[in-house]
Amino acid sequence: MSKLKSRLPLVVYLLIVIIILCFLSLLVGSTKMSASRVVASIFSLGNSNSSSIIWQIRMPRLFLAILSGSLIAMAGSILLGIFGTIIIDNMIVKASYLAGSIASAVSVLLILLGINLNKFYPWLLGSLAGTTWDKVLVIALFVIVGIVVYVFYYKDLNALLFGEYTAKTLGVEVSRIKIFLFAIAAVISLVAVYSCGLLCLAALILPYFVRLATGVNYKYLIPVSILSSASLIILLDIFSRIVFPAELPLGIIAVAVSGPFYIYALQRRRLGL
Amino acid sequence: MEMLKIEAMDAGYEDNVVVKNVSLESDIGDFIGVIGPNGCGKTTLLRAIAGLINIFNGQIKIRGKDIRRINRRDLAKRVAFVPQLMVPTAGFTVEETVLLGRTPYIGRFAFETDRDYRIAKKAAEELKVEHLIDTPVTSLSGGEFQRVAIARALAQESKILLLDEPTSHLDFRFSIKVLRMIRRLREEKLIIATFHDLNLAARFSRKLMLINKGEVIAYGKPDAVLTNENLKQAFRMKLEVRKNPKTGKLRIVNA
Repeated sequence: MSKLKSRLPLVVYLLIVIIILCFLSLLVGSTKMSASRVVASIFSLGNSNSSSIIWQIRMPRLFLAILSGSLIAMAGSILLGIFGTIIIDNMIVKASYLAGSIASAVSVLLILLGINLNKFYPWLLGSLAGTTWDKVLVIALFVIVGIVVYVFYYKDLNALLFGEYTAKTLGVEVSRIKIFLFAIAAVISLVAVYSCGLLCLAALILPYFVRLATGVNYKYLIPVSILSSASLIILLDIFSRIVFPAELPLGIIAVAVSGPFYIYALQRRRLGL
Repeated sequence: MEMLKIEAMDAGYEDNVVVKNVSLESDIGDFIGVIGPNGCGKTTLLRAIAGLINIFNGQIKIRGKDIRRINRRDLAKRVAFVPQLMVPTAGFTVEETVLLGRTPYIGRFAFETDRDYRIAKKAAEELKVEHLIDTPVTSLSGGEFQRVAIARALAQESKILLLDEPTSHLDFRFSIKVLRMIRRLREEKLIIATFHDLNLAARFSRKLMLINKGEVIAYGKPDAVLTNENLKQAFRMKLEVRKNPKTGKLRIVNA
């Protein structure tokens, strides 16, 4: 890999993966449907019953998976940039602290409001079942905010990679930018936690590994992280539907899958890598 | 009005004064070598000029304006800084690294223009790395990357260029090569560089500033600064300055 033109094929490859996964995601579910029926239903050509399954149940669920993946990819990448490129343990500690405090604050609030917490267990554990278009739209708004921030601030994140002094000598108002980006990352992770619960955990670590593959240039790190996180969440969702027809909460899978990767990242950090 | 004027400045970190009572007046065309033992405050002096650390007393003026009154972005257009250890960052090509120098010129809601690319290319040409423009910086040699780091600072189009130990991890041949390139830039810039190597400092600088324990103990033409007494005071060992009678070059040897 001598020339970095090899970046483009990576994006194309990820796009192909995500398209295949999207189709699989629409194909799999409690109601058996053939591939051709799924395609017909997407264009509302099939019978109304299968069309409504696709458009009212599976589509919103798929969209939510993509959007949650994007949110968590952006939050993870930004946190990685603010807390330094190698201080992964710091980032994880702060991110889980953040998610933890948000989760407990929300729980307390719900109890105070007299809402039965049982209703929220699926959310707490992370499951995309029962997603509505309304929810998808709300999450989409935050994804747009995240993308706008990415487009206009990746230069600052890149400058920060070279250390605070160098960023400053390049004209970056380091502390102001860091506070702003941290606030954005916090809001984005809060929305991600709201949209898919603990499932975020699996994808939060992804930018770290994407970085090992693509390098740290934020121009590429964020899009590639978004595509891979979205793929991962669609995949986990499909997995939970196939392997566990009762729909095992995704959060459990997420924790099981991502645990070793967190340990690996921490280990590397300890070895000074 | 002079490009750079430092008036009785004390600077350092938090509450800690590291360089004391530094004064300097200098203009475009100068190449000042800052020398002195480890920990004497060479790097701190450069950081102060770049507006990175606290100035406790006195002031630094660029074209008559106190640098504390200039915002970061405008200061970045006036002063560029090449740190001692810039690490090649994975995922960046030479071009992308040099383009970082254009950061202060690119608006918040704007992107690099053709002009930015042209200036980056010119900077790369100046440092003879234009043939590497699409190469990932992680596959460059130390000498090549140092030139990329300097090209990045050059792309800032600043009148003041600060270099912290520009040759510290280069071999002899590359040190000379890089310093020759830097010296050529002098025509349109004021260059201030720190040096470990007294011989290189003497050979390439127009003026030298000798610092010891945060204070300037000599400033002026190399043969006026590099005296046996000054060096003894700063480095606390016997060094001998020899002048080549034919070329006039100074050479410092351990006596």
